[in-house]
Amino acid sequence: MRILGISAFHSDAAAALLVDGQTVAAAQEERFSRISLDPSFPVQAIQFCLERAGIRAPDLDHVVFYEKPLRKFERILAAQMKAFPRSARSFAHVMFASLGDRIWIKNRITKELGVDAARVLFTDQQLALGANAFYTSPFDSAAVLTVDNEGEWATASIGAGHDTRFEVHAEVTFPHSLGLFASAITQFLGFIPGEDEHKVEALAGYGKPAFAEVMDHLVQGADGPFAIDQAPFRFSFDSQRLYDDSLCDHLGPARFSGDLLLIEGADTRHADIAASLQQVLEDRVLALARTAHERTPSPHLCFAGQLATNRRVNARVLADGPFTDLFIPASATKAGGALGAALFVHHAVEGGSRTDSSFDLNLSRTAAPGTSDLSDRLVAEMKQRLLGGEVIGWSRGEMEFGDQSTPNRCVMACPGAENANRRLLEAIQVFEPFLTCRVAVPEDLAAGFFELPSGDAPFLRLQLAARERLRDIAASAVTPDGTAWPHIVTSRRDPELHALLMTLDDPVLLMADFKLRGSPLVRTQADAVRAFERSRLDALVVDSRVVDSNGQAHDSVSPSGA
Amino acid sequence: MDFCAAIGCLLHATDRARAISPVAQPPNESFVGRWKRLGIHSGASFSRVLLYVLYWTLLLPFGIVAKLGRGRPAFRDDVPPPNARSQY
Repeated sequence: MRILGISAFHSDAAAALLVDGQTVAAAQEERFSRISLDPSFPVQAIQFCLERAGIRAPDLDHVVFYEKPLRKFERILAAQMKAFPRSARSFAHVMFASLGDRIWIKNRITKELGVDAARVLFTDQQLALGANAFYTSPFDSAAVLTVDNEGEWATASIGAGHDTRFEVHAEVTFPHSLGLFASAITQFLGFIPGEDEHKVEALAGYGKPAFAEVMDHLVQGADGPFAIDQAPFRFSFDSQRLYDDSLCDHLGPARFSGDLLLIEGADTRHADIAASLQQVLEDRVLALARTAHERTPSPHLCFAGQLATNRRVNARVLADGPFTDLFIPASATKAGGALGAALFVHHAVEGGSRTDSSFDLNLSRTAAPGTSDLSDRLVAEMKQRLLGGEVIGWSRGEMEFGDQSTPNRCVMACPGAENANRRLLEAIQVFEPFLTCRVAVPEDLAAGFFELPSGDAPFLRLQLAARERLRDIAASAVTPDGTAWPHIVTSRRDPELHALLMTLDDPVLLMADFKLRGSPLVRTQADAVRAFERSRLDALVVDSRVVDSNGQAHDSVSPSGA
Repeated sequence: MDFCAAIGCLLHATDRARAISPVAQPPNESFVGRWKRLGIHSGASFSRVLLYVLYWTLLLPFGIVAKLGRGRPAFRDDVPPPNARSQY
């Protein structure tokens, strides 16, 4: 059984291919088109998946699109009518986008891929996101929560999975959307909605929740499902301007891109708004998690959607929620919907059995588990450069499928160097002074650097309290509220990075994704070299080859050839 | 435009024009190509105007009814089972 899943037309289009239940390939279109968060139909990602499996498109048994186009169109039209006449200016733009391409997706798939129309299937967005979270998790049964921005009607859902069955029991409906609410505040603070939510999350570490009461009033429902006061917002009908001028009555003047950001000194209003937003997001997601636990009293929670990329939300759900274990898939957002749609059809429609291979997607590495392909000489050279204060780009093996935290394509620096956090981020053209890098530490020593949660969790997506030792070693990567972003490295999942860390006296490295501002993550070695040429990185390591900033390249292979 | 032209000249001067050749192609194309693009742009503009007119005429009563209606509840726990064959 060959099933191709597709997500497109929102952000970060992707394709994923299952062959007899095994995930053969999954890829985001942006990695090929080199357009960040490319929403267009993922022609190149599909081609990549088919080539990886060695099959042609007509050989596919099913092609699954991750949303219901007609139901989504109904929601968009109803929202436009509900906002009459405020929606007059946005109506033509929104309808043009829907009628021009999105609603005809079935024809597009049959035409592009040459498959029979009867083989084209559709899932709901929240169903696809939840299926991605559950079927790629290591749990036999779990509660499943999705909290996203928009889809068809549902913006968040509560469900449960057991063995091969996955069902959605309840949902929060549009326009009550925590994701869009966060995007509106992101735009209010002068950042790009849909892209810069992580910046507002980072900003929250610099402020106090002084606007918590206002946020509580805007997002009601502290004990369960929430409802958003729509009066100061426009996101239900306008995709360009998400908030109304009346929001300024609650939060003060809006900030525009390039304006001074108020995060330090006497006036910390922007940081306070971010902290207040963060608090209300955490409270509402926690309330939904408790509702999910009441309906499915399992110790395990699978969590997906836009809010699952918020590290502070995840840490709060794990710390204060009723669940012991939390799982977040490699790609928790729309791109992961492509894989989720294919997995849902395999398990729930075709009655396929669960395999462990879907979980391996999170662990995809070129080396066999537990073995490092790095030569001693390369490790020694990387160590020497890092201790010398250099910022290094590292591209190895195959690209990974995921939204962030991809160690196969990373840049890193030693935290001991002066202004290490800022130097590393500026090397990849990230100039916001309040952003911090990930802190890579070995798993067996992590408890000495972070206050770890008691249960099992995907450590890449948590913001945890830093211990004193970490604050001494990597002060620049710790936010004013005393937290940092851990990247826990195990010898089983990532033996190469683990081996490099263990050669350091203080086994800590600062890391960030290998992508320049406005560009997607590098995919090929050629992409890595091009990005290196445009960056301020001091050196680039591509597999066993080291390239200097002056263009000199050499192989770094040990005499034994290891 | 001046800035784009200056960057274009700079790239040509440094023999890096290939970097922008895909996006620079449309302005250099033939008369037929330009005529086609003009048609596409005109069609798009006409469609937007048509949609705007529809909004204030055909859809106006529906808009008033929708505005007066109560809308969907924020939370529902009677989610129907999925039907993978349906686009709705």
